[in-house]
Amino acid sequence: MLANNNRGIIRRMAKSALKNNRGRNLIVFLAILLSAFMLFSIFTVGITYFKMNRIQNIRLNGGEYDAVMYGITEEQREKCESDSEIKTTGTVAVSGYIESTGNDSTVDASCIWADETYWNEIMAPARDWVKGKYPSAENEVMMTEEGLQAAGLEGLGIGDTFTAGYRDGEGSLITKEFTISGLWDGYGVKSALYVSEAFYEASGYDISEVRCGRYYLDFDRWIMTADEQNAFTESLNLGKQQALYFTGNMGYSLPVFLGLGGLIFVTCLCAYLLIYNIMYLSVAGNVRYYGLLQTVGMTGTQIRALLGRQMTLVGGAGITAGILLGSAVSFVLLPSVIRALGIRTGTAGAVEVTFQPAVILLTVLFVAFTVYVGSRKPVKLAVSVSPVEAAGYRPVYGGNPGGRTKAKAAKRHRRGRRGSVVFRMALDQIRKDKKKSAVIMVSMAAGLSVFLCMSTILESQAARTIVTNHMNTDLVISNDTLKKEDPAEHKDLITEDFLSELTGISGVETVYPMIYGQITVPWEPDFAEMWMKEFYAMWMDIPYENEREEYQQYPENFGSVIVGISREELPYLQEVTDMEIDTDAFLSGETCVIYRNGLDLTSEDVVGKNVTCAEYGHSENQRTFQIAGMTNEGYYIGPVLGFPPTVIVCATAVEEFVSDYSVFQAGVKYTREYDEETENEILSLIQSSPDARDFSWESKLESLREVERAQGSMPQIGAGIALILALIGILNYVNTVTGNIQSRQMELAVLESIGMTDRQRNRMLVTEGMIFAAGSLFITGTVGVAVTYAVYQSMNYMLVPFEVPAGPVVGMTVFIIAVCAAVPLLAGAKMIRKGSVVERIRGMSGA
Amino acid sequence: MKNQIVKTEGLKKYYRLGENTVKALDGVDFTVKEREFVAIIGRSGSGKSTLLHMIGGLDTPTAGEVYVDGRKLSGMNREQLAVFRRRKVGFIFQNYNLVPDLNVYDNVVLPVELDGKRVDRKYVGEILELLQLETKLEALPGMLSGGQQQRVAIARAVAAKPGIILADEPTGNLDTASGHDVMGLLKVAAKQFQQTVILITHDRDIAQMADRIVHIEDGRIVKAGDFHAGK
Repeated sequence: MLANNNRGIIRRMAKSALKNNRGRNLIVFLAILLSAFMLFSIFTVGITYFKMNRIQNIRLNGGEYDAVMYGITEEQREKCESDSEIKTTGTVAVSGYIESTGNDSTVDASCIWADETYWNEIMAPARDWVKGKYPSAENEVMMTEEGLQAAGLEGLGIGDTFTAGYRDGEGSLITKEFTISGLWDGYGVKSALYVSEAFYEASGYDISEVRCGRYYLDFDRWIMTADEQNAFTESLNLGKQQALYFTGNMGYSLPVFLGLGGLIFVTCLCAYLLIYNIMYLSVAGNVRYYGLLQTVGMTGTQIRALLGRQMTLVGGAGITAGILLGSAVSFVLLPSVIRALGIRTGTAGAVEVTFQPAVILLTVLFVAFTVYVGSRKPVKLAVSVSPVEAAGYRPVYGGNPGGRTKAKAAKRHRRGRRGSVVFRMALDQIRKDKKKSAVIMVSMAAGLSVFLCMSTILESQAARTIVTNHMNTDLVISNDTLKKEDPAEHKDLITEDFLSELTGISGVETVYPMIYGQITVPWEPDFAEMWMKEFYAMWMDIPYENEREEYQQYPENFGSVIVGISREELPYLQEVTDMEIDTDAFLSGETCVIYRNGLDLTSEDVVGKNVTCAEYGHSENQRTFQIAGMTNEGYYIGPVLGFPPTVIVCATAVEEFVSDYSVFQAGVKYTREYDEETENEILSLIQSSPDARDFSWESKLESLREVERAQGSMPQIGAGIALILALIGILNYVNTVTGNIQSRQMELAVLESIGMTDRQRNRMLVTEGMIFAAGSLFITGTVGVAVTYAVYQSMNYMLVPFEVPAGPVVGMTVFIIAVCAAVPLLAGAKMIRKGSVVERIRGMSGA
Repeated sequence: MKNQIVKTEGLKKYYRLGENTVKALDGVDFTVKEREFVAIIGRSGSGKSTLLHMIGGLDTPTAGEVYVDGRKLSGMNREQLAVFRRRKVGFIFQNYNLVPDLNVYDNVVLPVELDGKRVDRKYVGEILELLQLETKLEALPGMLSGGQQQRVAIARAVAAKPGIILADEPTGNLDTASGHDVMGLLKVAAKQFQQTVILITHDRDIAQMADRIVHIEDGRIVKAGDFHAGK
């Protein structure tokens, strides 16, 4: 059968329908525009966010790699190089430690040799600039300006020479004249001196040793599950001392990817619900018109074509406008925001929002599909309704009251007798179409959950949260001279006077000094034997058996330290110790805590045993402590780490036990966290000391600035995503509720006609809104929090404890309640302005 | 002697329709006595529904006054009008206009509950029995026939014991038999509960059941007679 050529009339009718229903079509157009804009922005911002996250990892890791192995054997290297899944491998060798230069006798910088691949490929993205060339001669070094400054060599440049003392792999202190062959800046270990291969070869270090070799692996894939990572680690047959660490990016790539996928899914779901609701309400509201068209002889196919054409025109315009708006925001505003936040474009680590055809295609496809799916049901309704039915059609918000069973009605009746009539009617409205109500609540809850999730992650991963010092102190000051091997070079820098001056600074709340003394741990068959055996197995290349005799006879060759902490610090030590410490026993000097030093010993192995310490140089002065627990807290290591254990006791026990003790570091807590003024005063105090160079410090404020710089504009973009998603959920609610009230205007007018006052109507509508708000918040508070927890833990590679941020949650709750109350009120008020009760009844009933 | 319960003076309602002015009511002076059953008849667009809506406080006049039970409606605000409607007036619409989510019982007692009053179950029971709805209490409007729905609308209109029942083409959507049934019940109910009824219809047969018939044409009362006084 030949089809009638009715395209002309359909086109004209579609055009006239668009023209005559400007208001309705404008809403549909705006809905589509908004959805396209949101999807486009989410995709673009999402990609930018992902890129920036990668950049952040490159910056924090100092290179682009997925895993690093400590110590590498030839066999392992061959295996990795032949592995097709590994894109790049780079080697770095620690080849010595600089201890002094002509201007600074307490330098702490490592000499590192990086092979070509590491320097040119893995490390390159983390560098901002390089001047000169990588060292080739044995005495050449490459440094950063920061490194030069830390070594007291500020002002030197390429071609300049300096003399430095460094300790080689044999432990010998060598003095050498170095020439600066190049300078660089960027991210990574900036204090290090990059040296030549020739230097490494002469250093006495070997990359097979854990203390020297770092083997960097960059995999040719994005995602690697924990199982795959474990399988890979196992396949390398790592030695006891060897370790392989995956970076946060690779180690958590799957959860991150799934998290992003989930984010896009929720966005798409929200956008779908938004379009569907508006399309349904707009087409359903006009069903009578299509019924009339059938009356005058229009076929179902023609109605479909008519609606299809309208949707194509409105949808096409909406999608185009949405993408244009999205482009303007993404490509014009975003780079400005990034530039304004101090991210340098055009250099390593810069982020540029690039043109993504796939994003446009995806946006078009999704929105077009949503428009199609969203209008299918209403089109079906318009086509299937008979002309007679259409004439009497009254759009009802969801449900089919006539389809309910008597039993259900009776149940509703019995239930309905409780509470005021206004509340019952509001509740009935929600219950009338549970599916639709659930969709609105879920849609809003989805947006809110993403907001909750993002704000929780952003808050917990914010620089302020992840930057922590020991005991969350603001500054930790150390005496670097105590790290020197030669006791003659030790100076007492953190003296009583210094400490009292420190305490006297107005912004300083508390100072936690930590003292130490040198000790030996004489051999005994129980604990000392067990410890040393495990220590050699873990950290040394030579077997313990070869050295046991020397240890037994000359324990002074195996020095260690005893660390004394103040009473105020005990609660923190307790927190980081795996067993309960008896406070009285610890403070009376009976018990001690041992620093684990990475050994495979458990608390069960050591707790209850005794450790005997002898004062260094006075072996007759001995004291025995019972071990109360072990800790992994590196803060208690003391200035040097010996082979025997580091023994942590209370300060008075150290003072009573050893004659030669001194403060090696002090934690300082400010009255006001991150107080720049106080910090400057303390630093001035340090600088005023003639031995200023021998101090070092770890500042929480400086770390905060560094992390903030590394994170760039990531938090802002994350917050943007969260806000857009929350907005989608709320817009969906706004659209659905206004549509709902619009479709109920006759019902509301009838209620008005029989005496419902404006106040009663408002109370009913606000109650409905409150039920939606309560439902959404309930879903967010249960499912949302559970999902947030799961997503959070999967991305929590900084191991920050889970905590829902109170501020955003309270803000979100207040905002959602306000929106849920205000929207129905405003929609109700708008409805009243449309005309008198009679006009509104007539308008809908056609009477 | 019966008192006047409804009185209109020079009632006008003009609408602007494009460049034309439509005079829906053009100076109507009209009175109704207590417990009277008045039918207003006229052609479509004659202004009869507009008059009814003015009396019920659903619409505001362009000029003129409406007095119901001695009170002038033009001085009332929206809130007062709503309270006036639920206490003084019971509406019956052609399309029944029941609340689709409420069952029969809830629909009937809705105006009482909106007024915050305790439902007089005995009185409501009497109404429902009179209107033969006692077995349909828990049914939703969508489950009832047109005649049944209109009977629910009548029950709702009389439940709050208003002085006046305003019925706008109550039989317009019903077949002849159902229409007569509903009218019979409306008349019985109004008599039993001593209410005044103003009915709008274009069906002369239905109008014959009223105490008085008022003709309205082009917004003016053209003939008001006591055709069936005493009927």
